[in-house]
Amino acid sequence: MNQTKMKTKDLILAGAFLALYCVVSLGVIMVLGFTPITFLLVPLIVPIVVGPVFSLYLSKVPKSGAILILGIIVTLLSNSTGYIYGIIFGAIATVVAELIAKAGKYKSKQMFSISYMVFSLIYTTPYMMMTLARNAFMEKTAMISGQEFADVLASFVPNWIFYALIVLALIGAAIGSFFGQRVMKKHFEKAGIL
Amino acid sequence: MSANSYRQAYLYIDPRTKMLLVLCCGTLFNAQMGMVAEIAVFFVVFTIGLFVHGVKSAAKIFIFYSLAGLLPLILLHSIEGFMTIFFTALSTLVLIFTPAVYALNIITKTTTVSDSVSALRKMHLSDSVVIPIAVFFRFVPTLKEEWQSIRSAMKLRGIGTSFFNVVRRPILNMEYVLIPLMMSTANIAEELAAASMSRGLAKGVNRVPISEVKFRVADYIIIVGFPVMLAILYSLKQKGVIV
Amino acid sequence: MISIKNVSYSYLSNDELVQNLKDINLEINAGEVVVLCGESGSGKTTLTRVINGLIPNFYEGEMSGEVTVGGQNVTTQTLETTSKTVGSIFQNPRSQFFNVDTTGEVVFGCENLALPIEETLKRLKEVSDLFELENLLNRSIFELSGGEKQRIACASIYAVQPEVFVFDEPSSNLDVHSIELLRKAIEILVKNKKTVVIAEHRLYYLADLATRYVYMSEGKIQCEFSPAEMKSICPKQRKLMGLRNINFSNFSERKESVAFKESCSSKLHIEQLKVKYENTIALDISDLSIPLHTVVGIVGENGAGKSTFVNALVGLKKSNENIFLESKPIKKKERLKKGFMVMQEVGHQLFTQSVSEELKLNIPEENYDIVDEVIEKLSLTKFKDRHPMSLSGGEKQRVAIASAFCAGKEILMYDEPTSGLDYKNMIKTSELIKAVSQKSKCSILITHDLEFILSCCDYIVELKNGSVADSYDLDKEGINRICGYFKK
Repeated sequence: MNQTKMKTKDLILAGAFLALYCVVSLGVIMVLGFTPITFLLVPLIVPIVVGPVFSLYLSKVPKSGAILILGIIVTLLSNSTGYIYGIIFGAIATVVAELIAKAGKYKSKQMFSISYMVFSLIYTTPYMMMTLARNAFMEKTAMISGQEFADVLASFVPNWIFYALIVLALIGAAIGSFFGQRVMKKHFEKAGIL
Repeated sequence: MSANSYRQAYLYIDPRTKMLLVLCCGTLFNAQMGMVAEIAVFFVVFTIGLFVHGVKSAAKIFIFYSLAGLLPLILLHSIEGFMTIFFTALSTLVLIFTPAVYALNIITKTTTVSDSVSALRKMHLSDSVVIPIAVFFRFVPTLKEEWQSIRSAMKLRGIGTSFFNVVRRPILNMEYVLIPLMMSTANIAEELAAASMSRGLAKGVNRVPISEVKFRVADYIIIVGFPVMLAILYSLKQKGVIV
Repeated sequence: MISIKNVSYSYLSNDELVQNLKDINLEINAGEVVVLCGESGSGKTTLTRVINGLIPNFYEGEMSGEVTVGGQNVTTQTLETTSKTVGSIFQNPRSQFFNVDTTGEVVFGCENLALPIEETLKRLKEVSDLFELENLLNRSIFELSGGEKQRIACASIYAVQPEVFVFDEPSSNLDVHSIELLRKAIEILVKNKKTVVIAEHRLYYLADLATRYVYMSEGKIQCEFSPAEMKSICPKQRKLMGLRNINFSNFSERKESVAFKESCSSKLHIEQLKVKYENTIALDISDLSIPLHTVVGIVGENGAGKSTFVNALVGLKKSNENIFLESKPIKKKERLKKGFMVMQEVGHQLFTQSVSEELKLNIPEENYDIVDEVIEKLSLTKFKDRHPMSLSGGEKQRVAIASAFCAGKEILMYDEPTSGLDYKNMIKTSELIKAVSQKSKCSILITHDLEFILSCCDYIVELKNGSVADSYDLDKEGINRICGYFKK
């Protein structure tokens, strides 16, 4: 049982991968965040790009709590606006992802993929308000970017956007997981860094 | 980073107070606090930053805030049409987010790794959380250096340079950037772990740092005063007394 | 003090068992300065890891045998406990430090030992005086040079007051000046009767400090030398053993270079090259001519501007410039297209999953047949399908150079190509660069490796404070000059 508990070495590696994961995510988000349409594609694209990092992280630290640490930090960063339901949703996604990985005894690649798909739902949390608290969200946007911008946004963003984004995130994570496994095999295993 | 970054300029405040600072700035994000509160928050953070981080950075932030945040508001009366939307959006974004960004900057640039570990431990967080967070902060500047080097290497090979190429084959270009970065991270992380552990860093081991993390007068003033100020301004805004 | 009995170590790599240490027996007495020398892969580094307990407490693998330091069994006890007796200093300054501020880094070890604050502060003052750290304290580590970082590392370990110091190729990434600082630091350790074990390629700076040399090859200890014996090994024997030169007085075999005439058109003429960095002028070069089809060595102290020079020349840095290649002006964009630099961190330059893919990267399809030719010429045939990152440092360099070749690059720069290379690999690199310099237009290298310079350079440019202090051929007089430069 001690084999799956995180030791000091794992904690340090976790911190490093945490940094890499966040920096890459942020990089992609900043590039995509410029136009409204690409802004909505974040839950699809970010999990794809970050897939390999997640795969490498889990292969270096296949321990209990690895996903938990990553998830908590990412949830907090994604929901810095303080939307409490977003944080709760993200926390739940993190815990479920951790449990799925645990079910695979931190070794099964399929379980890691499923875990990643659940994990990536964290990226939909900033958009929760658009569906679940639509009026409040539109008011906020109006205050930030003006009434006209809010109207434009309202006109092409449907009510069920949040659910759509959940689907997008799952698709993105599936692709990202596949991409991640491929990268691991093609590069890391071949180079013997694993 | 300038030579001054690790000397807290004139004032020392507890890392936990700095975290509270960020949270308070975060209350501006729901755009419900009103413009007076937003500007007040900025000035509080600006003053604190002046003493904690230094004149140079405070001055830079002030200039940015004035030009991108306040100036558009003043000019709003003299322009019309499309520019109105742009100016409003720009100004509001700056007013809402700048204090938080500055507060985050204060945390990362003036908190030593040792202090962050002490503060997190004082908050009764387990080492399983404390160590990764400390390493996180230590690692981000290293990542920046690695990234710059990889970028130069890419320029030399002529990959990932033209926008057209990147868009045409996105996955391939992603690989070009990610692979060296990931390998580099894995290697440096392992070396860092070996070095730190061979110097006695371990989970659960008690440390006695030379700089003690505790609340002092300035901390209490901020911890009590800032939220109170926010509460007052919020209720005044709700009552319609201020804008 | 240190007792290593019947130690063997092996680990799995790519499903293959690699045996790094075979039946090692070694006794080291207190106060000794033992230098572990040998070719790359001989097991020197692995042996240091067995002494400080990183094997098997950090690195995975199979280890047998017993290692005791000061009576403690470092194999079985935790790393925190071992850290009180054994201090370790590693080769890569950028990844050793846990803190970002220098002061915090120096006291890091003491803090981990939970020493009372007054004691820690006392030790901080002690090591600060001992290692002359006054102007290094209270700064960001990212600002320091490699040598300064290693000094902080030494001070940090010293503050913990262990009996044994273990160094793993500490001079690898350092320049001449920094190596001198490192040598002084080790001298302090010796004076204070510490036991020192150093795994190293560069032997010259330890010549007067070592008490014993242990020569390793293929995971075994082959033989030991006393300092006198070491100094009297003839060059032929030394080269067979793969060791670097220990002193600089006998560099007899070296053909003189053809003198460079400034008037000939076969040159890279830099009329002006200015680089600004944060309002100061980092580089100001005017009227410098560099001969083509030769190997040019750039030397200078840390901060003299070598890196800036090379980066600006290859087009990676903004600059004010007026540069002519063979009497034709050549602008930044073109230099970037025609130029290439083999970086110190070669890993940053390799992007694909096989050597042949790497060489084919970003070149037009018509040129694919050149790739096989180049692979042959550079003896990379057996690595053709290997992943570039799985190769050794020297082999990665060859792949980088090969990629430049296939891409038709004409201006080649090399940034410290021999750091951490043993003798055989240094010679291989030297021959490669010489061969390549015939085919390409311009070959410029930054180095502080005298052996290497004498082995392949034809022309020298000395930089000081951002401008050219001197430039000369490596003819008889030039050789004396460059040896004199390094003796300072």
